[in-house]
Amino acid sequence: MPFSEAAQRELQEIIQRYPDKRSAMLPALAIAQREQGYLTPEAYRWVAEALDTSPTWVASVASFYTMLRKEPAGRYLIQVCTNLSCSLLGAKPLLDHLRQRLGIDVGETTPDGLFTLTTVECLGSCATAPVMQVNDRYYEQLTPERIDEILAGLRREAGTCGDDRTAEGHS
Amino acid sequence: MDQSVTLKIDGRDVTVPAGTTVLEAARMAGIEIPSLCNHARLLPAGLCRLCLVEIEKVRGLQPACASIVREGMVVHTDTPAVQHNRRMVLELLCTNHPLDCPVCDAAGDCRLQDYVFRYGRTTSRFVEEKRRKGKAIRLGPAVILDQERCVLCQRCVRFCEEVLDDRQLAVFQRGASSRISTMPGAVFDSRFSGNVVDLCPVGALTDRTFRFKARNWELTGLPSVCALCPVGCRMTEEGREGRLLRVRGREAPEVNDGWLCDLGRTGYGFTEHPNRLRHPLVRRDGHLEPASWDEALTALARGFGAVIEKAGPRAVAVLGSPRLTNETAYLLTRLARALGTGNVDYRLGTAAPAPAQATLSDLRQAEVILLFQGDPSEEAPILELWVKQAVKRGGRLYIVHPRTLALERYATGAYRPRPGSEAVLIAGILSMLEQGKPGSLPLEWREAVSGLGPTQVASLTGCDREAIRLLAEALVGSPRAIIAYGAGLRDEQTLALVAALAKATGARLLGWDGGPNSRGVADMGLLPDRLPGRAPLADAAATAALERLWQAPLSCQPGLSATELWPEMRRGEVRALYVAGADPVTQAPNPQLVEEALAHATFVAMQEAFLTPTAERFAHVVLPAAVPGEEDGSLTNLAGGVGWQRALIAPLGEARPSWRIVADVAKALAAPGAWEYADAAQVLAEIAQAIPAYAGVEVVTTGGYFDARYEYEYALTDQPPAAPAPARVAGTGDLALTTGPVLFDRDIMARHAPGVVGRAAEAFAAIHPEDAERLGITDGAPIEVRGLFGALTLKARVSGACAQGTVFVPEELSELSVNRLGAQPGVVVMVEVKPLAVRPD
Repeated sequence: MPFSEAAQRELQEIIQRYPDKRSAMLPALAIAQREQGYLTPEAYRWVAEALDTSPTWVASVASFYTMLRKEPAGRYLIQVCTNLSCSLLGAKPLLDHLRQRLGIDVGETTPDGLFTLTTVECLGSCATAPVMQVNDRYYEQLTPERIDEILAGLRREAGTCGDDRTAEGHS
Repeated sequence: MDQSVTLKIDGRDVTVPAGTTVLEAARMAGIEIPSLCNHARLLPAGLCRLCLVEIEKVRGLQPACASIVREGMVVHTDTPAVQHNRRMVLELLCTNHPLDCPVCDAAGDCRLQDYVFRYGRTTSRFVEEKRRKGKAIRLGPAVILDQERCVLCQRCVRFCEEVLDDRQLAVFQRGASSRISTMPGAVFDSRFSGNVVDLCPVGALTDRTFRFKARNWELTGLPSVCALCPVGCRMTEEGREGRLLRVRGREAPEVNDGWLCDLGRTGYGFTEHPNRLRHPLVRRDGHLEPASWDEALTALARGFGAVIEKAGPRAVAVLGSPRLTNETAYLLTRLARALGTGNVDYRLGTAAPAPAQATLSDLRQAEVILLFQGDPSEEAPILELWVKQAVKRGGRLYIVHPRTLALERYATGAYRPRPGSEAVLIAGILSMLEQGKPGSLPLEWREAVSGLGPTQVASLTGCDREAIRLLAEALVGSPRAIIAYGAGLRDEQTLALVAALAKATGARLLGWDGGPNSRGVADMGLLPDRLPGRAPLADAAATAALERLWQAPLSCQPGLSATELWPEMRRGEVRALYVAGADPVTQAPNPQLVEEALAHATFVAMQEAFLTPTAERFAHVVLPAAVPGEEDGSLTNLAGGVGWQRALIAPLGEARPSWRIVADVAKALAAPGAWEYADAAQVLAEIAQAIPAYAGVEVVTTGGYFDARYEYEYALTDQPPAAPAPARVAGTGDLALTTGPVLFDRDIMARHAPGVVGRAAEAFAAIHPEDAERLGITDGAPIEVRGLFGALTLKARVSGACAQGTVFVPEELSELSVNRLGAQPGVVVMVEVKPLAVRPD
């Protein structure tokens, strides 16, 4: 999948901000991920060429960050916080609930390609624990019922909203 | 500024040059500070924390590898705090290290093992499960990675970055999950990949061809020299029980500085190839059949004797090869001259490289490098590193080559003269110099270049006039300029012009061709118009000295060159041929003529390690020769550095050292003079007497360094440069053929090594995308390339690196006689290229 004109332009703009091109590595990787959903060797080469460095180096940097994905995810990437506060308030049973509802284990994607289930360390929202993040949106003070509603909402959205990649859940 | 610094290490006063690290200063004083990540040829990294020492007045332990000495510094390397740190670092490293020393290649030669033994705890407090990472990952064709054994010193990563400037390896992930890897899905594909195995302080990186072959303590090793390219890298041969199992780089700042290319590292697998000749062969009733040495030498003596008796010694010719050691080449020269023939040569379509005026150290420090018709990456790999190093230091690189080289991204200027116009470019620069400063060229040179004004040169070569002027300026403007010419320069006329350019600009010459020991073989006098030491035949003093040494009258008649030989042989003037290490049927520029000539020969004898097509079809006697690793002998590298190649193992079967075969043949032919030598070293001692430039060369046998230096005039050919003749065009096709060596699959022997076979590119022809499109050729498709004497079926490689209007075919392709295309010095061969239909089966 080639990178869009817009992505090219955005990358060039970001590069202008730094005295050393390579400083733009993380924003560049973020753009590549947004374009393709996850990072591929093609993305590393694209970034490397723009930043005048080696693709191996780019891949090495990307590998440091878990937020930079190296495998394709479902349309909705569910990240359940399992850190201390969320765990104390029932993250584990919630995770089990999600597993059962989606029929997949942590790290897996539903066969329809809709959901990928992962766990994550602290999302920085302990006051509203337990918390999960779906794509760019937070869902707080979760309960099993709430999760069922959210999943139903996402399924509805997927059925109606055509090709919208990000989950702009309005609930 | 004071150049040296005195400090105290463990109570001892140590004086070292300013800028030295504490670690290095301690080493110089004989005090060991353990370190895993530090390496003398890499920049300090301060990664492993094993080298922490106490430095008075500095808080906390300091990494010795990254601390620079200061006057009056007081260092302690053995205090309780230092010892505690070492124990702790080693204990932590061992928590996740697999401790599989019993099956690890590095055992016995492992820094971690040594340090744990010397500085570590005797017991482990670690009871948890070890972390699992990748095992036996095939990083690339030469290297296997075990991520669990890795201590993350990053020597391999730093080597790729600092030495290769090619970041193919990096640390991936983070914290305890950190691991060395290539980019996902990528192959560690470098001509120098094997060096990371030498660099790895533990057993994380292992040599694919050596893995599990032997334990380190069972190996015996000898310092030797690589015989596979003109650099002659210093290396160590290691093996056991009569087998050569591994070669590794050896410290030698003046040559390869410890690095080896992968051809050298994996190329020696040929010693065990099943096709090696194990005993002499004699042709009976048209078939080559096994024979004893006595039978073979008797047959040989009869064959040559009959020819000499009937037609005189000048009906005999000797053809050597640039693969021969100096000793073998020297004895061949002596044999030919003693028999009374001057028909000796080794050049099959190449020019003899002139003695070098620059060393490899000079190249590394050059301010300006003109790389003329040479591709170091394929022809003399280590030079690629040295050219990069020169550029890194601020040097400027100019390239004149028909293809885009890997080094081009380091170049200030790159020139692609039209095929056949390379000499015009050089003459044009000379003419520019004369115009800029009239009288700067010797009178007889001016004529050669007078007709070549800048406009004409630009139109003949297709190179930009202004760009040519910049190149001329660069050469003149620097006291440290080097003109390095490579395997693409094949004719003496162009060499004469290049030598003239060097003289006119003050640049120094460094040159090579495709042969590993061309320089040495030419020095030994394996040329029809030269004596050993390159003295002209007319040099009476040199002749007299040789006659005294050889106790034989010398034939000082100029003989036939390897080009002139074949027509004479076809006419029956030359009737007997002795070939050592060459395969004219696949290597000579005109295979048709060669085959006809050989078919007319009365007697052909060959010494060779493998049965070559020439031997198979035309030889009456074939003598089995030893290969590098099995015979002692000296090699002279492209910069004149002589190295001593060692026999680690005995020759296979009944094979004999090549130099000894020549002496045995001489005795069988009753050639005048004494031919008893105890060993190759004795032959070398005689070379030291015979060739003034080699006086004292014997030191190489005991590990000394020797530089074969000539007086300046020998660097130039005898003739003043002539006006470049318009290139002769042959062939009816519409693409100009270019050819040259490629690193893997270049050598008649290395192509028999398992480690090389897997890396050799499928026989290919490179063609420019536009030509490919015009001809309907797609990348990877089979094509036919038709030249002067036949056609080859090759795989198309569509590449912008190949100039439009040209096609590149590697010079040596296993099983294919590329010479059928007819490439020859000074001629532009136009070949016909067309796509082949893929057969349905």
